[in-house]
Amino acid sequence: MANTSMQIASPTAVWAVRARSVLGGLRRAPKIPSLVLLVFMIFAAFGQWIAPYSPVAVDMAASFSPPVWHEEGSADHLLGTDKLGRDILSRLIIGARVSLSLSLFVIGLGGGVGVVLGLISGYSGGKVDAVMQRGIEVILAMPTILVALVFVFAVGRSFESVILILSPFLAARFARIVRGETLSVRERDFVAIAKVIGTPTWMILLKHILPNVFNTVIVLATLEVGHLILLESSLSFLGVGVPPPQPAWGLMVADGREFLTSAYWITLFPGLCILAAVLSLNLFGDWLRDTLDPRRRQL
Amino acid sequence: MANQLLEVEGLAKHFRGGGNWLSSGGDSIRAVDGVSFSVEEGETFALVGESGCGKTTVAKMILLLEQPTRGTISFQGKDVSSFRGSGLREYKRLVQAVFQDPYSSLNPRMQVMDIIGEPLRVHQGLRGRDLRMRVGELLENVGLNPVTAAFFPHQFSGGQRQRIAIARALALRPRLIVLDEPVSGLDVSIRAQILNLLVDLQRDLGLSYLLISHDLAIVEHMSHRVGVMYVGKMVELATRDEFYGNTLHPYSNALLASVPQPDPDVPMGTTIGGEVASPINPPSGCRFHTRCPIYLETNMCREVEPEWRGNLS
Repeated sequence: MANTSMQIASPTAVWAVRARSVLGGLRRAPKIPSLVLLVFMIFAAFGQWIAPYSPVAVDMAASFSPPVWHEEGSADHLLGTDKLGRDILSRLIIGARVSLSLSLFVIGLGGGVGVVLGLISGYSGGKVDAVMQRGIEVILAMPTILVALVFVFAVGRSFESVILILSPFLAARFARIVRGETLSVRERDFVAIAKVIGTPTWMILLKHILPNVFNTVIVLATLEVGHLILLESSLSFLGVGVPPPQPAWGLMVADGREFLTSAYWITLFPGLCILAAVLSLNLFGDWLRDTLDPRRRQL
Repeated sequence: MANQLLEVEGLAKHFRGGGNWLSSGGDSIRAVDGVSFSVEEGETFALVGESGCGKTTVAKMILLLEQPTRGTISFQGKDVSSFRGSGLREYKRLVQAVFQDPYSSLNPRMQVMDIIGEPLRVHQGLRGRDLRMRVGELLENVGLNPVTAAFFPHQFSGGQRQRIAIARALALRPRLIVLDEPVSGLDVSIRAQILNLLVDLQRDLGLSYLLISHDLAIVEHMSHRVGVMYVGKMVELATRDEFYGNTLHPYSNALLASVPQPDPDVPMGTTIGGEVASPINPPSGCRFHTRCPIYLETNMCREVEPEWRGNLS
C-alpha cells in the first residue's frame, strides 16, 4: 500500500506533468509574433553590432535619400535616411532598445507596484481599501502628458525621468483592475478554506489570489506596452521624451511628420515597427494567458 | 455529558444593515440570534433549516470566518475567542471544513498535490518526499488514485473534487470537520458514495462532524443528534431517533412533512403557508408563530418563546 503510493506520487509524476505542460505550451506559441519579438529583442540587446551605421552619424550629403527600391535609392541606406542623412535602418535597430526597455521598465516597475497595491487594497477591504482607491483616483484624474511635462522640466530630460513619471500612472491602472479582480476571487471558497486552515495572509495572496488574477495582469500588460510606446512618442513630440540624439521609434515618427508627403519613409518604418511590436505582444500575451491557465491547456 | 468537543452558547451574529458614512445604516439583520448546542466526540450533530435560517453563519463563526456579535464558542472546554498564537494554530489544525461547492473550494490554478499539501506545508512544514507520501496516502483514504496528485481540479468530476476537498480536510488529523451542505452540489447518484465515505472516515478516525444541511434524508442517514433552526433561532434539539420518531416543534413537523415521498400514492403531508419571517424584524415570542398551526388554535407563544422542554440533557 505505502509502496504503491510512494511510487505513484513520486516526484516524476508531479514534475513530469509540469514539464510536459510547459513544453506543450511552448510548442503552441504563436510563431510569427514570437519571431518578431525575438528579432526586436536581439536588436535591443546587440543593436550596436548589428546596425550598419551609427544611429547618430550625420551625413548631410545623403539626407532624404529614399529606400533602396526607389530609383534614387541606394544600397548604402536600405531604408533611406532622414533630414540629417542618418540611416533609418540603424536608427530603428538601436531605437528598439529605448522603446522596448522603456516599456519593459515602466511595466515592470509600475505594473509590479500596481499589482501589489491592488492585491492589498482588494483583499483588505474597508478603510485601507477606501484610502488606497481615493489615492488611485487622484492619480488617474491627472492628465498624464501635462504632469509629465512639468515633471520632466523640473528634473531634467532623461530616460530615467520618463520611466519615473510614467510608472505611477501605470501602477494606478494596474491597481484599479487587480483590486476589482481580487474582490471577486477573495469571495471564492478556496480562500475561505485557506483561512480555516490558517494559511498566512501573504501566502493566500501569493498562491490563491495572484494566480487567479494573473490573466488580467498579462492582458493589461500587453495592451499597455503599445500604449506606452505611443505615449513615449507623444512625449518626444512635445520635447520631453527620451533626449534626441538617442533614437526611439516614437521620436522618429515625430521627427518625420514634417516630411510626410516628401519623405514618407522617415515616418513609415518606425510606425511599422511600433505596429509589429504592439500586435506581436498582444498575440503573445493571448498565448501566455492560455498557457498559464490549466483549464485551457491540454496535458 | 460525555466528552464535549465543541460547545456553542448563546451565539449571535447581527449584520449591520445597508448604509454608509453618509446615511446611518438600516436595522441590523439578525442572522443568528442566540443559538446553543454542543458537538460531542465522535458524533455527528446536524443543523437543519431552510435557506437563510442562519445555519451557514453559525458554521462561519465556528470556523472563525465571522466574528460573533454575542455568545461564546468553546473547544475542548476553552473559549475559542481567547486563542492566540499557538493555541489558535492548534484550533485551526483540529477544526477543518468541507464546503458545498467543490468547484469553488479548489483553487483551479493548483495541482491536487498542492491543494492537499497546503495544510501539511502550513502546519507541519512537510516538504518533498514526505509531503508526497502523505498526499498519496490521503488520496487513497478518500478512494482516489495517488497518481491524480499531478492533476488540476478541472480534470475531475464533482464527486471526485469533493473527495479531494475531504482529503484536504483530513490532512491534519482534525477532531472536528464542519460539513456545510457537503453533497448538495453533487449529482444524486454520487451523493451516497460521498456520504458513506464520510461515515466510514468518522468510524475509522473518530471524527466529529457538524453537518449543515437542508436535506432531511441525509441528516437521517448521517447524524446522531439534530438541531432545527428557524430565522436565527434553534427551535428544536433532539436525538435523531426522537426527531424522526416524535417531533415536538410544529416547524420540525412541517419540515419533515415537506420531504417528498418517492411513492406518488402517499399524499404530501400538511405543508405550512405564509412566508419565512424576516431576520431584520423578527416576530416576537416564538418566531414561527406567524405560520404556526398550533398558534392559530391556541394563540400561545406570541409574547414569550416556548420553554425548552425535553429529555435531552
